[in-house]
Amino acid sequence: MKNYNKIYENIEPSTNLIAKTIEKSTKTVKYTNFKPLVAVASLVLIFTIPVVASQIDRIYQLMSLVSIEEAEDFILIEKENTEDLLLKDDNEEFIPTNEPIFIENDDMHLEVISIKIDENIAKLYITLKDLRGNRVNDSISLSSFSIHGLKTASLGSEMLGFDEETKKATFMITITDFENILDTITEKITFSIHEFSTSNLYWDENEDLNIDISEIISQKTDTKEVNLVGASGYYRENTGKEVFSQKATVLEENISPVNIGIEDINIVACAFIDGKLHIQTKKQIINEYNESYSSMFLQKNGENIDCLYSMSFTDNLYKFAEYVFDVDIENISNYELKSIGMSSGQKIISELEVSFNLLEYN
Amino acid sequence: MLLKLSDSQVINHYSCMVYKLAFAKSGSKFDADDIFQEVFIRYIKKKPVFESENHRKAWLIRVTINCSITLLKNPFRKNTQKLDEQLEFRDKEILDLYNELQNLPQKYRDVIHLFYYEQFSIQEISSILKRKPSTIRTQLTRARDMLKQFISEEDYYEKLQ
Repeated sequence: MKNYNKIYENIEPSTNLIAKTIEKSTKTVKYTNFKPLVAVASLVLIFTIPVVASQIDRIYQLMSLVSIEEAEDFILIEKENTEDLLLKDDNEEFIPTNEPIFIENDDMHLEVISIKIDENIAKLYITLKDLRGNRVNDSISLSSFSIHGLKTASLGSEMLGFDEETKKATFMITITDFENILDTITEKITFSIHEFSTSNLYWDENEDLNIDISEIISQKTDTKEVNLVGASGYYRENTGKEVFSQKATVLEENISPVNIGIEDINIVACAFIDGKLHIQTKKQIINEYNESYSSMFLQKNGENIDCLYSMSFTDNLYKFAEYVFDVDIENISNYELKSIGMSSGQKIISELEVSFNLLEYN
Repeated sequence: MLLKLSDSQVINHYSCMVYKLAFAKSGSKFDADDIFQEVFIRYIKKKPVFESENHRKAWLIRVTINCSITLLKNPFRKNTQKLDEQLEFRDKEILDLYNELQNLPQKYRDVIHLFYYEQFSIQEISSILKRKPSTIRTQLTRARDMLKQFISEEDYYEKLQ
């Protein structure tokens, strides 16, 4: 893309900026780099003080069970396991908690294995294990969790891995503090998990989905009015209605269900209305906790075509989504249907709470 | 192969790459200045160990993107007024493309930049950004669709193969 490159022809750092950065960075070198210290301290502990070493070893093992590279990074910082560096955001060191921080409740074991603070961001590495069954598995995700002790902070979670042998799932919880008080707060803060879901199913552009749109288009275009639970895309621009007005016109079911290759999601209506292709999907609501999100799009000659807008609505038993596309009616057979999404299998409510003092980890 | 470079040599060597990517992500020279400094300060502070020059390059790209995201997501930015920047482009077509790039979602900007400017393959971008190759392909396709009028047919059809 020649024009794109032209934009960047003159986008360069000024010599002043480079000089300033070099100057700053030479000052930064004077910062104590704790990595080698942690490594040396760890090795000394492991080889000379068995009691303490077992504690370190326990943490190392825990970490290595789910992420050997993280554990190696902690124990052997200087080892050139460099290909793992890229696996991490920015080569952060792993510092284990000073003492075990865990809670057991409802036969669930939650443990904080490492805490890392960098300016206004704290990262907690936690493990979760089911002590009585298989509620924790490789498709687990945290659906409700919170932090107490910080007034204005945001929370995020990322599942890092699941170990089949120990049945432990490891997560990274990212706490972003907007008050910038992480390095001064003396009170303990509390991290709580309220709900998580397991047996989740994720799909991403199901490649094998082979539905010929032209074959399922119905001539029946009967419609009905429903109360929307949501809409996305350019709904307002295309319908002239606000989502908040709730009422929307959608297709009546007009074809035999066509499974889209994902569990119980079927296409139940497909027709052109006013030159726009409407595709409606239907999913059974398994239980009150079952949640799912999905999105459909079309592909033509390898290019993705998003819907103009989509609408979702429910009845007592089913969840519906209707996607509206602007496509070429004459060449409808050139379009392939694709879908991405997630369906949560089972939601589990479990109150787990751990408290710790962040100041110890600064 | 990993070159034996001093910290200042690394900064000089990769300054353009980091700066251009920071600009691609933020769309602002002022922000790019901040991101640039943050990336190299992290580099010096953390002293990462690399196997090869490609590895060092990939690390710097990854950290540049992380720093850009951190800067752009900073809630205090919402309360600050953007300073006027004088960016001069030789012709209108380029200016239009630049303006259109500012409308691209954040997640597409790095993909477009790494693909077209840095000439990385989809596989390479996938490992740098830790996104699936299929996701990169989709994001690239969507971004190119948004920029369709600015991309030549040759670029549009040839590159993704």
